[in-house]
Amino acid sequence: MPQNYKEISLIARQRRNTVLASFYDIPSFDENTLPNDLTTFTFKSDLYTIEEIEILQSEAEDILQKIRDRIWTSLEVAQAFMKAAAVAQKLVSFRLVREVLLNEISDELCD
Amino acid sequence: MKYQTNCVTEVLFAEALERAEYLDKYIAENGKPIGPLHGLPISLKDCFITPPHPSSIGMAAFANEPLTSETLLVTILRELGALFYVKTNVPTAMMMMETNNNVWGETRNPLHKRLSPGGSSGGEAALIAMKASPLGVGTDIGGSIRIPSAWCHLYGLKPSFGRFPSYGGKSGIPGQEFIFAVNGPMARSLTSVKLYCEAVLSSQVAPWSLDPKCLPIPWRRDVIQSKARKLRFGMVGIDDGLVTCHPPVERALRTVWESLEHAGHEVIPWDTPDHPEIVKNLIAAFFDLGGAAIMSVLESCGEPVFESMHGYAEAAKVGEADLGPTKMRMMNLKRNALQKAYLDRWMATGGKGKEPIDGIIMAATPWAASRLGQTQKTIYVGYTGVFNLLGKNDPNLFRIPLTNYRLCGVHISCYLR
Repeated sequence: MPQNYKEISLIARQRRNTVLASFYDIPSFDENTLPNDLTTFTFKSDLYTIEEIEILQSEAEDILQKIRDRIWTSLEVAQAFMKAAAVAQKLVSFRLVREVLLNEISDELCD
Repeated sequence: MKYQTNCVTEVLFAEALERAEYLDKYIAENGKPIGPLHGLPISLKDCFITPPHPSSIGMAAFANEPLTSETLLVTILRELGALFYVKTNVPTAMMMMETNNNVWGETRNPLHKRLSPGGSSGGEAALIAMKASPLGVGTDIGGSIRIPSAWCHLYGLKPSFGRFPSYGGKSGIPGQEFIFAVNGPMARSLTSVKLYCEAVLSSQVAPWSLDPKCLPIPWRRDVIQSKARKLRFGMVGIDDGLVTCHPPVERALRTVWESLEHAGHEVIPWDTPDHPEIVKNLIAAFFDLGGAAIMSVLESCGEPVFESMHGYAEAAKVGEADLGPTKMRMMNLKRNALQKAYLDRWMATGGKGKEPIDGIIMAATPWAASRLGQTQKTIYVGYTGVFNLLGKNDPNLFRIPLTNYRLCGVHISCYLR
């Protein structure tokens, strides 16, 4: 049972990333191509269908109304936000990899 | 420097899909929604317990520990029809004003990737600002709903203690009740915040029958009478007696003042002679009451202490020998006296034919959203935290996003008579 925070952190992040990856295969982003305002970026990419974008751009009150009116199902609404959360998280995954490698290298050097 | 946007901690996708399918079946079979939040995905700050998932609250010792007992509010929201799909990142023990920890790393502000989204509900604010959530729930004990709402251009409600059910969450300093933490909604739309409040604080849910600390006060409509009545506000100026704000915040305050006057409301200056004393008591209480609790958890996994949390390490070194019943009683008396004096000062704004001011307006932070890591050196929650210490009497606090100032904001402390 790991007691060091670095090992624990690795396990936790791998757990999270594995679950995310099992649902959505979001490509990695190059930090250099990302604008400062990330909110303008995600809907310009090819990641979403038009229907998903419409759901994601809607406020809670409109989502609730459209579900009540059977225009959208709870399932498609849930899936749109799940994908958006996976994208939001993925936007810096390459940094995560770098940090893990740096940790491993520094641990080796310290031994 | 590490730039990481880790807004997501726990992934609840499987549960979300299962619940969504159930909700679709329900509405097809019954012809009506299960409740006012039917089908709405709601993102949850990491401290809300959703078994079996851990609630690390940014601390390694809790990061992989499954939990069994669901937070009361989570149960309530589910029964209202909401579904949960993610939990979001917080700083260590939720006690910083930016979002970074040794488990998940740093969350950055999607409005500007080199800035912090604030803390401690920073993961929530980032996710909502990204439109990856239509509504989220945060918590606030020193500014943790209001600060990230301000820095991410959102509406955030820090309610008075005793309205929303707080039972059963994962706390940064368990059992600490000198200053109460509360939970509240965060969203891009005021209507979203309102529908959340109406749904949770309804007679149907009756949270006061589930949480012993909830008062039996359903969400009230039409509180302002008459509807056309113009309001009176006190506005704090460019400093609170301790920290002076930056020019963008000063401009924001001026804009709010002018907008309110333009709409026919009255704004008067609100002085802060007692704020330094309140802030001093607030910060001392956090360190004294939280030092040992937080440090023992960090030390169990060899976690280094973030710079802005050194006060907890210092307090833990001093130890709890001095913190006996006498000191606690003196702290309580002092806090209660500060609360009463503040309320009296507020009510004294009435007179000469005028009612007391309806609310106090103050910037949420002295600066617009800080650079990542900046608040490790410059942490200051005095602009928001005063209203937490003012405690049971503290009115509803509402953060207003300003159209021209996306990275800073003001909050309004409202006393509804």
